[in-house]
Amino acid sequence: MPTTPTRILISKQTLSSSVPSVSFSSLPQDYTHLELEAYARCTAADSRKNIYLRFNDDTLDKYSRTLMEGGGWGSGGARYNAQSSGGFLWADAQNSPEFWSIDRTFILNYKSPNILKTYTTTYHNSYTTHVGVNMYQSTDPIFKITLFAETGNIESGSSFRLYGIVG
Amino acid sequence: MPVHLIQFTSLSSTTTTVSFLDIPQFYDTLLLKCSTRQNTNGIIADYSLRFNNDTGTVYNSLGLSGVNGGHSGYAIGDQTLIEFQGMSCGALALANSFGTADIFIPNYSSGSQWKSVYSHTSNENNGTSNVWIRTNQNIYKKNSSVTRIDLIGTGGTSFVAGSKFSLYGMV
Repeated sequence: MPTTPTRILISKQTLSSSVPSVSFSSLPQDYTHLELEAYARCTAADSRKNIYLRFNDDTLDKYSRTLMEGGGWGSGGARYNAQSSGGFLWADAQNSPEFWSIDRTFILNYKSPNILKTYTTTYHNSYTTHVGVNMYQSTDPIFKITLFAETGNIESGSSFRLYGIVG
Repeated sequence: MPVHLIQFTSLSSTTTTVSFLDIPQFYDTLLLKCSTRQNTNGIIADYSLRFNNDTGTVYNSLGLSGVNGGHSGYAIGDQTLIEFQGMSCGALALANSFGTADIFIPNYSSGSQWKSVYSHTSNENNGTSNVWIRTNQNIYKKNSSVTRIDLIGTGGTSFVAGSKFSLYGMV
């Protein structure tokens, strides 16, 4: 059985205080894909708040996403086009005490200079389970990923792990 | 969970079928991760999966599809392959855009169970239409262990250069 690892931890961040954003910078260009995992909450006075994503600090309207989600409330789908940031996680917040939201995101072909960047999201919070497909309409290699709360902060204790995927 | 790369294929030329042969039998689960574009004359494109070159009517699928922000369920049975609609970009999609697929095959080496296949497939083009996302449960109604997987462009279409296919074994 081969033993070469194919999923390598690049960086792990666990927040010791609440902050508005988390960044992974100077990403190594050694892998085929990236995987990003989150276990997080937001501090905003609401049941849930979005944590959005940006690549390379690019704030132009290059992000789009399509999603499906469902829960005890039923199910739904949505489409967002030409956004200034990408979807990542609709995280539990102050009015959903004790709930922690989880996310698993795959970023394909992140270093390719001739492929538009597509990433898939799967997340779960106290209200819904979600699958989504997202595009960052750029062929630039990704060197930086920033996650930021829609309003308020990402809560202390939240953790984020970035992996490189071989092959 | 240890994950090992079994085979990585990055196409340098147009190819109708991508095959994984003589798949080792010592893992618990297979994961197939694909990034694809095809020469289909359209914005979206489809391809299919077949196990062990088995062309019998032995494949069922059910799932949830989201198209352009809507969503619906579907089920189809007794097919000759597992077809993943809307998981790839066609020739008329945004230049340099590629569709995505994650396909999980637990218990693939079992000789006494039908094979369940979970898949999460999608394309995206930053447009307002022709965007698909789909999550599927599929069944290969055979007890045979899976030793071969073929990915086949629908309608004789081909995968274009730059498409990538990674087969992993998970312990």
